[in-house]
Amino acid sequence: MTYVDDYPKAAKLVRWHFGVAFLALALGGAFGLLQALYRTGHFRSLLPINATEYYTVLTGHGVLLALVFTTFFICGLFVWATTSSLDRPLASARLARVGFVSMLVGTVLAAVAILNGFAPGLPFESADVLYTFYAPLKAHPAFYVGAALLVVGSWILGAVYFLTYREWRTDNPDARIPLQTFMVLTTFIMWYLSSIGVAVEVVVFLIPWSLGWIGHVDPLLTRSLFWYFGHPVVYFWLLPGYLAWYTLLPKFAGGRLFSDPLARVVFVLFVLLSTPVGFHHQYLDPGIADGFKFIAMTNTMMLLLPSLLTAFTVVASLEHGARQRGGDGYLSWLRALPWGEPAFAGCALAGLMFAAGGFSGMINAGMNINYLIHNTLWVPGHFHLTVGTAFALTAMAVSYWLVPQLTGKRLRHRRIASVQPYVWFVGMTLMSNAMHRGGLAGLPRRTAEPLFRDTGAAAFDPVFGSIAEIQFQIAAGATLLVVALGMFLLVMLGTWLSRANVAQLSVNGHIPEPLSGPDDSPRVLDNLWLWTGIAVLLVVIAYGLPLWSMVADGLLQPGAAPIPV
Amino acid sequence: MTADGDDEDVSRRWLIRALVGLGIGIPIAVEATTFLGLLSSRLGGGDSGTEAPATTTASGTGIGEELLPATAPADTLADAFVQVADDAWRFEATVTVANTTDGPYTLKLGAVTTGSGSRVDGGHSSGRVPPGESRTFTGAWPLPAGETPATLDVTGVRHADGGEETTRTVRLGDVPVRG
Repeated sequence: MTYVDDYPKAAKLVRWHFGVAFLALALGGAFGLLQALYRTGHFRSLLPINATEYYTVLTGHGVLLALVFTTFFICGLFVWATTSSLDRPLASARLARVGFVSMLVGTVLAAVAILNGFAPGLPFESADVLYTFYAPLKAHPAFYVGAALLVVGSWILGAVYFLTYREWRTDNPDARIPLQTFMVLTTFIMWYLSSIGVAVEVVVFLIPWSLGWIGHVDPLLTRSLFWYFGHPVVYFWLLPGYLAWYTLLPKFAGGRLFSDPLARVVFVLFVLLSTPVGFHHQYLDPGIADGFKFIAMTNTMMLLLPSLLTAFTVVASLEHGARQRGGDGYLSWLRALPWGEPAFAGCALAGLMFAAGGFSGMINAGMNINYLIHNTLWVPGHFHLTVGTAFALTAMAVSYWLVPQLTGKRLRHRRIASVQPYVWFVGMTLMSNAMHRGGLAGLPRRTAEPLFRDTGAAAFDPVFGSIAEIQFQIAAGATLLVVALGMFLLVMLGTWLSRANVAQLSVNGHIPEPLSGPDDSPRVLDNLWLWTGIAVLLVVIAYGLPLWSMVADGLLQPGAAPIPV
Repeated sequence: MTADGDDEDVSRRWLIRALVGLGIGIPIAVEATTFLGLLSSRLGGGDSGTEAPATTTASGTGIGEELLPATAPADTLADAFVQVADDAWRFEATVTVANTTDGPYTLKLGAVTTGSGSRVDGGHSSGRVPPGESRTFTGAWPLPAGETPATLDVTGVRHADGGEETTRTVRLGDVPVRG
């Protein structure tokens, strides 16, 4: 019996989520290629956009991939993880559908507002505010309402996971929380805590501002609220990837998870430390005391600990799997891993690239060296390694394994699927490497005309190589990425549209027991109220005074009374 | 296993080896080249690391600077930007002429050359500015879409000195592009 046979309603719900996620991935990926070719000056005369529309494309690329693709895929994946690990259906399928519809309506509203940038005759004015949507850039209210509905929909899905867990707990009062459910619940505790920031920003400030109900907003306050959410959202993307690396990758490798307790410790650390870090995106902002920026830097650096624990646990699990498959030696066991299996190769390569992303992230997080790369192309170079590969490639790899179980159909075009993770990996290496080098040379991000004109390259000083070579490498990498994306979508479409039950599936949903199980860890790790309370306390310490100081300086206009009059 | 099955297995094994070789090898080559380039530049005294900051070589005449610094009247570039339209871009430059000399003075703005080498003729003039007076005027040049101005031909005419002309092709600094 596969998942679709055991939980047909939940499987349908996951398929809906994945379907929207893949549509957003296709459109956002196409925007990415347009954007890369335009800003690097390759085939610019053939592209259907001008410099103004570049920002429409940039906004669409960021929102569709970083917010829509991720949120839909994660919420769908978590429906599967919760139901399969608790071995019961969702507590309320109807509520889950409400959450899905809320996210879908929100996405349509925001997408139409963004696409207005191409055709101003559409119902809404444009929303070229980029996916980091804070003042002073202002979008049509539909964009902000859409963003709010997307977040609210994810909250509703989160409530369904918790309700399902509560039902399970009633039936299993003394059992340890199954690891996948533990990961889902801790991820959503972090998500609830952090997304409050963007909810307040959008509902209290940006929607009234865009509707003309209030004349001003304080850019520093809305930026701070955005980044209060804007960095933890990175972990909202990452932790589902961790769920796959901890619970699925060891199985793909032919082995078992090395340590369940270490996995729980890692997720608890993310609950505690993910949110009080946002000021490290605002090192150059005036109006925030350096001490609070320093706290954010310290917390961010401490987040390296769970990532390093993950590297240790996952690599140990892979080695165990490889040795089960006959591998031996200090390193030659690596050859015994199933590199031809797309689900394994995708997850493993994503993890490898995430390590590189972690190193460049340390530069971003350092208060002093951040100044070298702030607002340069280095930053998108970094997050294309993290969300653009650690999450996206893992999501694709998991889909190769999970979609057959959601549809009851064998994976089609297996050879294309086997090649796809490598094409993505090479493409991302080229693009991200060039972006990092461009950032070191001072190339700005978020601009259609980074060189301003052909002779503008002289203004930048690459450590080695030339600006022209960096630009070409970005364009070549982006092209390879879109080729890899096309391969993935072809495999998914081919599988989805094929006939069900014509052949036995080559995958199964069984997750082997860890080598060290939950009973080897203290039960306090499962005390979600405790970790939530400490996380809230840390947020109050990191954000209480600075936010109060901004509000006290005038809620809407700095220098005014705290309450608008 | 049949012979066909064996062939397929061997072919698949080679495909995987090639994938892993290329997929891991290319990134290692790219990153190794980057690392060696960094080392060579910072430790080995590479060319680019010893050059003077490139911003000084790239700078041209910007807003607030004089177009003809060698002449006595002050011809200040008051504003300059590229206005983006659907199918064509337009360069606009506003110049303030402060005639500090004893005789009348005229400033003419001629052709603009874009960074891509396109040349757009122009014929804008301040008109005759009497001694001790100032005048501000704006010139506009249609540019091919996607191109930005690199140089501007400028001519100053001192009428009291028999129409003595000073001509210069002014290299422009960064001109903002407005949507």
